[in-house]
Amino acid sequence: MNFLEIRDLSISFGGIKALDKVDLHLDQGQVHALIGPNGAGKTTLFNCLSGLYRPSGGRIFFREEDITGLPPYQVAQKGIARTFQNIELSPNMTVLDNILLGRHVRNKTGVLSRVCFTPKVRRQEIQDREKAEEIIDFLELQAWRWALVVSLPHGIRKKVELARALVMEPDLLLLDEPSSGMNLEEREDLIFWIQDIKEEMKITILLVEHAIQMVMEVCDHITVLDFGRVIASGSPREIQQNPEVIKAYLGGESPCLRSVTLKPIIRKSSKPSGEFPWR
Amino acid sequence: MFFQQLISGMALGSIYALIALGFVIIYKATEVINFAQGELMVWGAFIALTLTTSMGLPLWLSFVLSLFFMALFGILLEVLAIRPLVGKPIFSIVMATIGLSFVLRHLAGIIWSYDNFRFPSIFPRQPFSLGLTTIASSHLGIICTSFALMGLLYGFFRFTSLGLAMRATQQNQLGASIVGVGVKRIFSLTWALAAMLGAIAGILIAPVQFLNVNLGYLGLKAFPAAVLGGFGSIPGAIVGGLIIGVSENLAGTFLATWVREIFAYIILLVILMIRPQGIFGIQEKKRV
Amino acid sequence: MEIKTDYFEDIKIFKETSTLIWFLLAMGFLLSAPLFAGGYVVYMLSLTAIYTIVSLGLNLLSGYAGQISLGHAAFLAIGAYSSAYLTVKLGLPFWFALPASGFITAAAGILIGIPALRLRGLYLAIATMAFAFIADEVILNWESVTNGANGIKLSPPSIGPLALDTDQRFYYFILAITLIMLWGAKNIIRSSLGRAFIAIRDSETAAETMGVNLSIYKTIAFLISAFYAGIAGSLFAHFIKYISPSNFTLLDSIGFIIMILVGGTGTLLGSVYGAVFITFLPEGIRVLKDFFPFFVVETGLQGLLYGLILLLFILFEPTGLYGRWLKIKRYWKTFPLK
Repeated sequence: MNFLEIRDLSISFGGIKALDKVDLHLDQGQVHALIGPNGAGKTTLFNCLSGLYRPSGGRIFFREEDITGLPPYQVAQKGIARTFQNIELSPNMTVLDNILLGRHVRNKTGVLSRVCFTPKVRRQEIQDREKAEEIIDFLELQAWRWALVVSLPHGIRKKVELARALVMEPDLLLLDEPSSGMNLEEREDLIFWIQDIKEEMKITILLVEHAIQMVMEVCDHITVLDFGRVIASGSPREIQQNPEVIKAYLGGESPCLRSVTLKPIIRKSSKPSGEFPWR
Repeated sequence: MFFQQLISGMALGSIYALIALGFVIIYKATEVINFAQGELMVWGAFIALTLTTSMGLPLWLSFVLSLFFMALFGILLEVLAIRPLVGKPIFSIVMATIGLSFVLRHLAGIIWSYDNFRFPSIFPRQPFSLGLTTIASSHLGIICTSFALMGLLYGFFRFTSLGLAMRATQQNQLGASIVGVGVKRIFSLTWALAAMLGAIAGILIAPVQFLNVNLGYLGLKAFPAAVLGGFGSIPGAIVGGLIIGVSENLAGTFLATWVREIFAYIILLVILMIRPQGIFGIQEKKRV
Repeated sequence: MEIKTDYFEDIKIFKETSTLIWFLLAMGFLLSAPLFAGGYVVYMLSLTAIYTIVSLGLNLLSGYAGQISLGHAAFLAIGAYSSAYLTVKLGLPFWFALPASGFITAAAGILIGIPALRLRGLYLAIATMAFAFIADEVILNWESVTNGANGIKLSPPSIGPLALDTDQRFYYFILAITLIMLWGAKNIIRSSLGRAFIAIRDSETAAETMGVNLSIYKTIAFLISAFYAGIAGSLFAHFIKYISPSNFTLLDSIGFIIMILVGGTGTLLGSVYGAVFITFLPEGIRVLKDFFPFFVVETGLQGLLYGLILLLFILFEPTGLYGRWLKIKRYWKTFPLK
C-alpha cells in the first residue's frame, strides 16, 4: 500500500507559487529527506501535510486515505507527528510537561472525568508518564526532565521537541531541520537516533535538512526542491551527481567544479551551515 | 431630521476618528495599544479650561498652550510608563494601558472633581441653516476642523522629513534606525502627537454637552473605529470613526435610545466575526 | 528538591508534605474562624471565598488557556441574576438555583466562546470588553427579568430543611463550595486538560499539531470559566442579598484581572492570593482615608489604586505575588548560595 503519496501539490501566497505541482512518494519504513535552498518550499510542504496550510491544488494521501485539507488535530490523530524549524514549545513549562503534551492524541478520557480526576484519568496519566520516560531515556534527556524550557540551549530544545513528537507513537514523523543548533556530538547522536527510530520504533521519517553530510549518511531517498518544484528525486548517490541539483545550489555552470565529487556540497544559501566543530 | 442626525453623527464620528487616529499612530509606531487615549482627550480639555477660567487667558491662547502641555505630557507618559512595556506580551501591554487610563481618569477626578463643567465653544451658537434644515454650527465646525486637521496630518506624514521618519519607524524599526532615525525620539514624538490629537478632540467635543472626567469613555469607542477601519490603517481609523459616529446616531434615533450606547460595540463584534481585518486591513498569517 | 520515586508523586494534589501541612493549618483557621473572630471577619472571609471561585475560573481561561477576558464581571452578573430570577421570581429552591446558575452562565460562556475561537490576543480582549458593555446595558434595560436599575432583593437561601440564614452557616456552605471548585481546578491542571490549555496559550500551532482540537478546547475553557463565575455569582447574590447593575461594571472586570495578575496568572495559589488581595483592598483604602482625609471620593481612590496596581505589577512584578513567593522560597532553600 502507498504509505505517503503527494500528488500535484500546489499553494500560492500572494502571487508567489510556494509549491508548484509537487509530487512525493514515501514508502513505509524509509528515511526520506527533503532538501533544497532556502525558500524552496520545504517547510511549506510540511505545513500542508500537517494541515496548517490549505493547498490550492493537489492531493495528499496517507495510507491511501485522502488527508488533504484536514485540520491539524485530525492529521495528528491519523498518526503524523512533526517538529518545527523554530521551536514551538511552552517556554515556562518543564521539559516533562512539554513532552506529555504529545500524549494528547492517546487521551481517552472526557472533560468531566478529568475535572473529577477519576481512576481512569489516573491510569491514563501514569501510562502517559511511562511512555514519556521511555522516550526521555532514549534521547538522554533525564538531566533536563524538570528544567524549564526557557532555560535550555537550542540543541536541547530540539531534542525536547523530538521527544514530544515521539511520545505520540506516530507512524510518520516529520522533522523540520532537526540538527540545526546542535553541536557535532549531538549531531552524531541524532544520526543514531534516527536510525533507531526507523529500525526499532518502526516509524517512517520525512526530514528537512541543510546538513547535507547527515542527509547522505542517514537517508534512503532524497527529494530536492527548488522554487517550489521538485527538481530531482532519488538515492543519495544519484542526487549527488544530478546536474540540476548542483545548479540549484551553486547557481549555474561552473567549469572547474564539473569533475569534482561533491561531499560536502557547498551551498549558495546565506544561512550558516552550522557545521562548526564546536557549539 | 435624518439630515440633522447625519451631520451630528458625522461630527461625533470626526471626534471618534481623531481619537482613533491618535490610537492608531501609537500602535503603528510602537505596537502598544493605548487604552488611555480617551483620558488624554479629557486632560487636554481640562487643561484648556483651567487656563481659560482660572488664569483668564483668551480662548485661542489656552488652546494652543494646552496642546503644548499635552505634547509634553505625552512624552512624559511615554518615557515613564510606556517605554518599559515595549516587547512585553500583548496581555501585559493591554492591562498596563488600562491601568494608565484608570490612573489618569481618577487623577483628573481628584484634581478637577467629578462634576460637569461648561466648556467654552469656539464656534458660534446660532444654528446654521442649509436650505430647509438647520444644523448646529458646532457640529459643522467640528467636521470642518477635523477634516482640516486630517489634511494637515496627511501633508505632514507625506511631505515633511519628520513625517517620513515616523512612517519609516512604523514600518520597520530596525531599518529606520539603521538609516539614522532616532527611534526612541520617534516614540516620544508619536506620543506627543497622539496627545495633541487627543487634546484637540477634547476641546472640540467638550462644548457640545459638558466636560466631565468620565468623558474618557469616548476613547473606548476608538476601538470599534480602529477595528472597523482596519487595525493599523490611518485612513481606516478615519473612515471607521465616521461610520461609527453616524450609525450610532441613526441607531439611537430610529431603533431605541439605549441602543445608542452600545451600538458601536455591536458593530465591533459583527466586524470581528465577519471581517476581522476591517475595511482596509490585511490578514496576516503566522509563519512557522 | 525532593526526589520523586513514583509516578503518582508527580500527579497527586499535595506534592510536598509541607504544602499539605500549610493547607491543613489554613483549613483549621478557616473552619474555626467564626468561633473566635467577629461577624465582620466572617463576612470578609466569605467574600474572599466567592472571589476565589471567580479568580479560579478566570485564571483557567486567561492564565492557563491564554484567552483574555476583559469582561468577566458580565459572567458573574449572569450567574447572579439567574439565581435571583430563579429563586425570587420563579420561587425555585436554592439547591436548584445554584447549579442552574452555573449551567446558564456556562451556556453564555459557550455563546461567547464560539465567536472568540477566531480571535486572538488584542482582538479577543476588545471583543470581551465589548461583550461586557453590551451585557451591562442589556441588564439595565431588560426590566422584566432584572428589574433594571432598581436591582433585585434576595432572601437568605435554604437547602431543604437547612436554612442558611445566618452568616456563619452560609460561610461554611460557601467554604465547602469553594473547596470543591478548588479541587476541580486542581484536577484540571494536573490532567491532560490543563496541559492542553497551556499549549493553546503558548503555541496554538504546537497544540494543534499535537492533536488538540482548538475549537473544542477553547470552548471548554470558556465553558468552565463561565461555570465558575456562574456559581460564584449565585453565591454572591444570596450573600449580599441585593444586586443591581452597579455591582458588575468594567471596574469590577478589571478588578478580576487584577486578582489573577497580582496573585499570579497561571497558578492556582495565585488565584487565592489575588482574591484575598482584592477583597481586602477596599479595607486598605478605608484605612488610607483615615490618614489622608482629603481623598473624599471613594470611587475615585479605588479606580486610581486599581490603575496604579495594574501598572506597577505589570512593570515590576509580572509573576504576581505567587511568583514573588516562589522566589522567596527559592532564596531560602538555596541560602547561602544565590
